[in-house]
Amino acid sequence: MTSKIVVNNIGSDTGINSVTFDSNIQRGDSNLHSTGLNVDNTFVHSTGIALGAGSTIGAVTGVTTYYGDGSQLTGIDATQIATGNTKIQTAASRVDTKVDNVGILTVTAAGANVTGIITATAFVGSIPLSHRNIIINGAMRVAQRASSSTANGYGDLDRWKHEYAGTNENPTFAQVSLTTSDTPYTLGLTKAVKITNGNQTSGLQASSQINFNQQIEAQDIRNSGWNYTSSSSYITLSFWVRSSVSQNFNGFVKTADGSMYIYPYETGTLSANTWTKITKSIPGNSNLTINDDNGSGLQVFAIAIYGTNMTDNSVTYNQWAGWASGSRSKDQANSWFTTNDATLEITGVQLEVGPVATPFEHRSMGEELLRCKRYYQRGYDYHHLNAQNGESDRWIRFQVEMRSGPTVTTAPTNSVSFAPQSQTVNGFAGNGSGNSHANFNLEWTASAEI
Amino acid sequence: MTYNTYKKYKLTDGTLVTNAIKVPKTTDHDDLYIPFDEDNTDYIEYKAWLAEGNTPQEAD
Repeated sequence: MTSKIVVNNIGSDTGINSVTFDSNIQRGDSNLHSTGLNVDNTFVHSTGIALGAGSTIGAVTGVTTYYGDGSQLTGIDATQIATGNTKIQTAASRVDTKVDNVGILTVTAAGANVTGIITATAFVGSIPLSHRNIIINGAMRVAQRASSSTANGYGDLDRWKHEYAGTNENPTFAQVSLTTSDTPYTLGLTKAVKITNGNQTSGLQASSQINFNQQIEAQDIRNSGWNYTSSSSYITLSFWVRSSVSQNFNGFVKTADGSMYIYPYETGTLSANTWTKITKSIPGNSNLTINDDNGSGLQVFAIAIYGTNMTDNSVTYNQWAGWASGSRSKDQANSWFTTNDATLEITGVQLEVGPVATPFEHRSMGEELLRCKRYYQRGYDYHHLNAQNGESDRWIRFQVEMRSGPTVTTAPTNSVSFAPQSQTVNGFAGNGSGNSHANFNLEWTASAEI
Repeated sequence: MTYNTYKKYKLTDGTLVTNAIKVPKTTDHDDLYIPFDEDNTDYIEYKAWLAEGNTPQEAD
């Protein structure tokens, strides 16, 4: 039996807090029951659903279409929106996309991390896709001169200059091979430079110094893409370092044109015998001058140990300052310098345009060697003296055009004298003299280092 | 670096020219021949050495 009550208001009586319906209240195909609002088909109301403050909507199921632009959604921090394999976690500014519950894309404030292959119609960024590393021989593979030396200047690894002073015993600079237990080795870096300290019985004197640096041609910085006068444009220096003695080390980058400027940094305290990757992002500065020529433009002192003649505790790290010889770093610790035969190893040096350090750019031996030969090359030629006058005029052509007319050494065999002259970027002339009919070999070197 | 001599060369027509600076052999290096090239860092150092009032010895 059915009945019908027509009213315009149903309310609770005095002393009654709620009105309870024992069964569903149904309007058409929609009904309201104890589990919430159950709407079949389309729920239509002229103003939608209006809920009071503090209202809670439980699980929404069975809805095939949501209306509205969602622009008023707020307060969803610390929650997650997840649909199958995608999760947006706004509290940590994080987006994780997963396939088969394996993370593929993670976006955080530090950047986007993608596991897998990226394909796109174009890649546009501020970091060059190739030729990123402005440093030559950063992997320490090329050593045309020798694999080890105690020279003050250039003597072993190509392009790397080392200087020392105020020492009791000369430090040794050597190319060494890494092994599978070395972290850089696992990243494809099989060589390193190893600086072995001497026995510095006088300790770190005011004039003491040991540094390891590379001087980069100005035109290669000027044309690198780094807007070096803009504080929002960066270059980034990165390298691996391992010390046998725990210590905080220093280094700096310095310009060489106009009024010179220095950007000093520290490595932080290195754990003994532990490879550590150092990364320094360096902004441009409106005071910098870098010429478009073949002179020194930027000098990278990866590691520089100094006595107090060259240090000043007023130095501020990680910012540009006018160059002053006595202000290259704060006063330095002396633990490494005063440890006999302490070692310091460096490899994977990379200087690149952009605010972040990308993985080391590995280059073939052939390409790296050609780059080195712009600054240093050597040859071994066979000659024959003229029978009439016992002389031999020769023109030695370089394998690669050099940075400047080079300083040349010659070492002829068979008691022949051979003096080079007229050195140009392409070669040099020379006149050999000695016993007529003599054959001789001529070993020569040419250096156009900065 | 010590510059205790420089080298003069006689061209085939007999002209005597100076076109390189010689740094005699030491235990660290063979004879060095430095060109008069303004971009050569050894020549730049040589000029600085001259500016300090030093004088190279005459060639052989």
